[in-house]
Amino acid sequence: MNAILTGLGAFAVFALLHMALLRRGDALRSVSAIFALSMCVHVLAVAAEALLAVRPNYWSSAGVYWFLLMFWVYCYGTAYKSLSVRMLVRVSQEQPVAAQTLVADTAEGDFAERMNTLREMGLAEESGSRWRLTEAGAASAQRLKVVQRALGVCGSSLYGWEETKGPE
Amino acid sequence: MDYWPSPLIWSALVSALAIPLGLLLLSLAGRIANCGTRYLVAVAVACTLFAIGAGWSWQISPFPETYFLDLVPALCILATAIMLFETFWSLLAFGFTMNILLCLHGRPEGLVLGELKALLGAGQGVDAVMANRLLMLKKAALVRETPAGLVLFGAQGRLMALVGRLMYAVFNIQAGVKS
Repeated sequence: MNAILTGLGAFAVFALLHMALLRRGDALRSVSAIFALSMCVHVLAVAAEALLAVRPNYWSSAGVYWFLLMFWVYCYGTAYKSLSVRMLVRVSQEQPVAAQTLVADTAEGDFAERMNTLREMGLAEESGSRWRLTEAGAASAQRLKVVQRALGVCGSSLYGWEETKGPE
Repeated sequence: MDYWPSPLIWSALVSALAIPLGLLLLSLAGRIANCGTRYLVAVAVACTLFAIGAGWSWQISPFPETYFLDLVPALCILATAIMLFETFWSLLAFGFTMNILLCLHGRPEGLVLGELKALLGAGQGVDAVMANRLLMLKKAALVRETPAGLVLFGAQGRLMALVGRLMYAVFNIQAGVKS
């Protein structure tokens, strides 16, 4: 039971630190920053448990910690990137919203944001009015295609069109 | 500190690894085209394996009280794996940024934004991608269309919108559409 409480405590420390860092700047929003923070908290929690607990049990505390952490990151990723959540929140703020306005605004705002993300990650560049992949971007896309092919994602219904689009 | 996993924890770890392995095997079999269904089947296989492993652990467990203390972390490990692999699977199958990256791949001359937008969503265009997401919200009965426009649908729509706004507040994300 102590090990489970250790996992809960470690997660509480991580969540508080993460929320504080998110309010400090966009640089700390990256996956690598979250991973570094989660590992630091994990190592400290394991060390504290080894020193202080009567019967320390790594897997009990780690299992609880990683589950709560993954749930946190899952929610974070959904809030940060999900188009559906963005649309839902917009509807809740401004209802009623014209469907065409919502679709057009989300397309414009989100598309520009993703292009900026690719540029900041050094995967794509803009020259003149044209966008092209950098060497790193081309290598990433190539790797992605290989993985997609291996897992049979390539050529499958990317957005489930056959299920969701209306009659032609 | 005890680092060696108990039989129940081993069951969770092995079942967790069955998810990517199951996805690979299902892809090779090629029987299920829909990516979402394929993931659900892989998770069902992993859960079944865990149930079998949990039964076996119960049989060989010398201390039943330890077994129940291990059950929570074991379930946590399996749930962690389900969420982790779902994140990667969704990115691979449905990721919007990945889609942009792949549309630009193999075009050294580059694309103007209009051409790129038209290629997204398997050539349906960026507006069709967004319309598809909106359709998902309607199918999930979270929003509905009225003559005046889109509104939240029922208690479930209001609840999910509240959860969304709460997540935006917790993660300090500016609500609404960014432009």
